[in-house]
Amino acid sequence: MENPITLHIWPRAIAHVDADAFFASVEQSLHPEYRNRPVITGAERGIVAAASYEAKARGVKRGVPLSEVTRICPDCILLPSDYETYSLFSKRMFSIMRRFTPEVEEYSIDEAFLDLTGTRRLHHTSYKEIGRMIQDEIKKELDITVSVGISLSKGTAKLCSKFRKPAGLTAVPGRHLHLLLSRTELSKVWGFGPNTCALLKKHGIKTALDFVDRPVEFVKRLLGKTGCEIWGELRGEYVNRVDTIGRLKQASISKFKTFTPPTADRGVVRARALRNLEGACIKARRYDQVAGKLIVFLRGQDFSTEGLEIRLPRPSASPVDLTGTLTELFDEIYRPGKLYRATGVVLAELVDSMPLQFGIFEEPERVMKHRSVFGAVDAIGERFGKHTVFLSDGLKIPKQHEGPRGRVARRRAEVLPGETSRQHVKLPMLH
Amino acid sequence: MEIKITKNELLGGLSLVQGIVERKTTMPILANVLLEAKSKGLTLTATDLEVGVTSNLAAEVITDGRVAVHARGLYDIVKELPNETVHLTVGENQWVEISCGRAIFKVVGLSPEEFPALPKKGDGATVKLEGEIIGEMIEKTSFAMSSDETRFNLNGVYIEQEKGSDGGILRMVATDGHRLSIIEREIKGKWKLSKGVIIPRKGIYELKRLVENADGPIDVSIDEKHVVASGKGTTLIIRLIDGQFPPYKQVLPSQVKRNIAVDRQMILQVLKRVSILSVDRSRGVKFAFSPKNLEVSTSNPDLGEAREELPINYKGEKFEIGFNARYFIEVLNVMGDEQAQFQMGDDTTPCVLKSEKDKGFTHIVMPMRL
Repeated sequence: MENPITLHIWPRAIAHVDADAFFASVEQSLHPEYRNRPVITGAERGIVAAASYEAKARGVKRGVPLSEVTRICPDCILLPSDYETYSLFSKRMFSIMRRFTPEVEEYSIDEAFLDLTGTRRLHHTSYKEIGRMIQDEIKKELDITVSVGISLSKGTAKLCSKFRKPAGLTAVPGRHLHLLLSRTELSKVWGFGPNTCALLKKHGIKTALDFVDRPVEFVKRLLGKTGCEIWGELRGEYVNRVDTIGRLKQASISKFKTFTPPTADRGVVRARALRNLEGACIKARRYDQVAGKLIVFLRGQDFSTEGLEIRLPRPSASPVDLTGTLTELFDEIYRPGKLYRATGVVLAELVDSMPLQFGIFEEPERVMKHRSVFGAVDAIGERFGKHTVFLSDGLKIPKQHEGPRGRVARRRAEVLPGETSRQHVKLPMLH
Repeated sequence: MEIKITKNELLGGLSLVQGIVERKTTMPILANVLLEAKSKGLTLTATDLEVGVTSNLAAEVITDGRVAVHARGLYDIVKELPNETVHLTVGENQWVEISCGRAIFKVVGLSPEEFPALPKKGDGATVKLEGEIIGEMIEKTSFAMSSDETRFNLNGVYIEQEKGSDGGILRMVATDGHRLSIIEREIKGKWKLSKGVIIPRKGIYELKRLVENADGPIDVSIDEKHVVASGKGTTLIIRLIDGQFPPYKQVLPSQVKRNIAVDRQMILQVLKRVSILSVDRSRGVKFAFSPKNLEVSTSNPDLGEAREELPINYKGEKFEIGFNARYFIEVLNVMGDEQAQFQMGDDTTPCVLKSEKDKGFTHIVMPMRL
């Protein structure tokens, strides 16, 4: 057997908790009659957003069109996504994790990193047992299963949680790290895409262990700084910290939305792009940031995607400022008569909104007025829901989920007494 | 081709063209300098297709000829040669042999035919301008040019002529969208510039080098597409920026609410000290005016804060405004006065800086919200 990478057992204990088929599991948790049956969500989009393990066993994969699903798995239960309920489950899942350690990084809606270092004394047991306790409590309280991986760094913990799934529990201490890595294909490593894998294979590297056995200079030359970080992570070095604060600032904000039915109407497609712009601007303003660059994408019904980007003369997070620029980019890529299915907007090169340098060829009064208008728009949005006040082009957007395929999650279609369509009590809806 | 030339003459000529030779170019020939030997002497030509330069050097020409040589390589060789006569011959297949003292170099040359021809001088009238004046005008405006490539029409200095008694008034304007510098000088002689033109950044720097080296009057002519400037054996041909310069005259505030005189050296020192702690990107500092006092301050959550007061002759009510310190430092640096005049409105209107000594100079800085 090869030599261990490190002799330390637990210099750090980082856990990665990953919910199994999260959206589908939540549906199964709320609807016991769906238990042990193939369930998929994403019915409103026409493609699979999440598939339960029963559905996966029948060959249903993420992103597959629904027509395909009904062909390979006719008894499949197709459900529209109910993001409101999923995010409630997600919040509860994170709060269960916080009982074990305060250092929880909410990495996405269904996964988190936990720094468990030093908590053995608190819980009077091993790190692996702590992992099992987290699984048990989540199962008991939310009736969903999670896979837990525990190791020395975020990168290796993520490998562990993927190692056995669903409901897997894998703990790899430092002296066994090389065993895990020797069984890990390059493509499974967090941060390696097909191009990096192909490049590394040319150098005779097949597994993650082959990779970490190479000297750091070699990695630096081939893959640069990020490659070195992955190299260190895989060797069990705690390079990427568990970020408990959450990101205070964004580097870029992207809003990409598919709509049904597809349309060729310029006004509607543009209005959809503008709605994405508004959404991205709302988020930028929430972080007190302004964008230096605007990127616009259009995706046709044939999945051909075209995009354009432009540097803005003055950083901004005001849709009114950016509408003109967006329309210019839009008209460059929009083809009359073509059917479009999605639009996307990215605000990039985000910087702090203050201090604000006034331009010599603009009116500072107008800039300040814009800012206070959108301050008010945000305050209204806070109270009555996002996009309560929107650009008038938004009137061209047909109501979502209308048409033959339109299906709405029950949480949206029905309201509890006292609720409005925009304001919901923070509770999932049971039978 | 075969010539003899003193090392210093050749080195001077080569150093002049270095700034123009394109380093990272898609056209390899542009990294070369064209050497042309004719009875009168040696002519060096370099261009990046935006700015071109030709320089005439005194040399003893044994046989005429032309060759293109890698500009940086040739410069590096000549720089290290002993201070003697350089003997330069071009052999077969454009091999260039450089010998000086006992040192011999053989370098690869390229066919002169590949070298792009410089545009011919247009039909614009030529006028003699004082190099010193042009140099000063460039110095007092060029720092305000924009380096943001998306605003190409601001990546240079705008030049226009206003009718007057004799040659009229020559005006240069530069702005990056946040501040604007204007300088005017009376010129002599019959010259007519029908409309304003924009000289690109690189051209401006080369023009400044030209007037510094020429040490006297230079000949300038401007046509639709190019400006041609020559002095002391060197000629620059600069392609003008094809764009509209923004309507800068509208920016000048029509009325002044506050007129404040500040000791230039003193405020310069204060700004340099205080801005050490201002945020890198914006360099925001706060100016707080109160009777007889100006407090300049900055605070940066990551670093700390700085504050300094200086006495001034201000009489009005208390008033605060934010600025990018770098913009003030740069303009105060080029002013020659003891006292700088700040003309201000409120905290969203621009500050106009005026010079007592140089009535033709006006600078405008937009405030920032801190």
